Amino acid sequence: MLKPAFHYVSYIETTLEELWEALTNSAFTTRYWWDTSVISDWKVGSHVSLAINGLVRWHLQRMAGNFVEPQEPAANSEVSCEFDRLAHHRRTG
Amino acid sequence: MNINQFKPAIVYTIYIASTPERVWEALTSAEFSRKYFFGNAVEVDLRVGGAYIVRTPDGALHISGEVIECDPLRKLTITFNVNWPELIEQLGPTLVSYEIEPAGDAVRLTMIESHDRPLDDDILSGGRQGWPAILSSLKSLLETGEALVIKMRPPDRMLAALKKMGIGTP
Repeated sequence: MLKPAFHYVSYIETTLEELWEALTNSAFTTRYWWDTSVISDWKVGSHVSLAINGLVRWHLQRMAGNFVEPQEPAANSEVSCEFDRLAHHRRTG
Repeated sequence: MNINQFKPAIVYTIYIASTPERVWEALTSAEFSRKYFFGNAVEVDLRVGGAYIVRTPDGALHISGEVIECDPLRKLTITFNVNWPELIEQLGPTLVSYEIEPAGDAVRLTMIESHDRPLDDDILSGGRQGWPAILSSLKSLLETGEALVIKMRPPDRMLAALKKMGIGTP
């Protein structure tokens, strides 16, 4: 069983839909994550890739657990998207 | 009181698009704190040994403490003792330290809550629930002019643990 090692909570004046978009839309992530695009089809079992300036630098593969997706939009709900253990396959060159 | 005996139990860092002056003012003024700290008013005499108190919206004394370290615009350390019967006797004093550092066009604010003895997760759950809300709201206030309206359940887990220890809770 994987255990959380780092936990950070923040409150944001926004909607669940906008927050989900900010976490999963690669054009959006480049704006706050040092030009990093987060790319995935967000299906359970899919890879998540991180690309900087169009070059894929990291592949993250889900090893366990489930994505927690937004359910009923509700004020102040927490949306979590956990990558649990990340398998890093660094592309060379 | 020897602050070297205190160990960090909760650490929370947040970046705010503001200046050290504004962050310092937000942390130390009643007018600001009422907006982001659930209506509570911070009153502090900014010198080592000076009083630090927090009043509830109805004016009652909620937290009392004193200034331990005061390095304006950089660091403020205070004792932060919630005024519930038997709390300090059972849990010991609480130390809170705010550190402010410039970070590019922003400011990095770190809050460190420390204790002089190990406390279990049930007791600490109250701070773990509260600090992110307070400091997120402070960030919003400084960046947008409006604090957050956060609907939050009471810290039931902490309150139950305190009650079990015979500490008076509201």
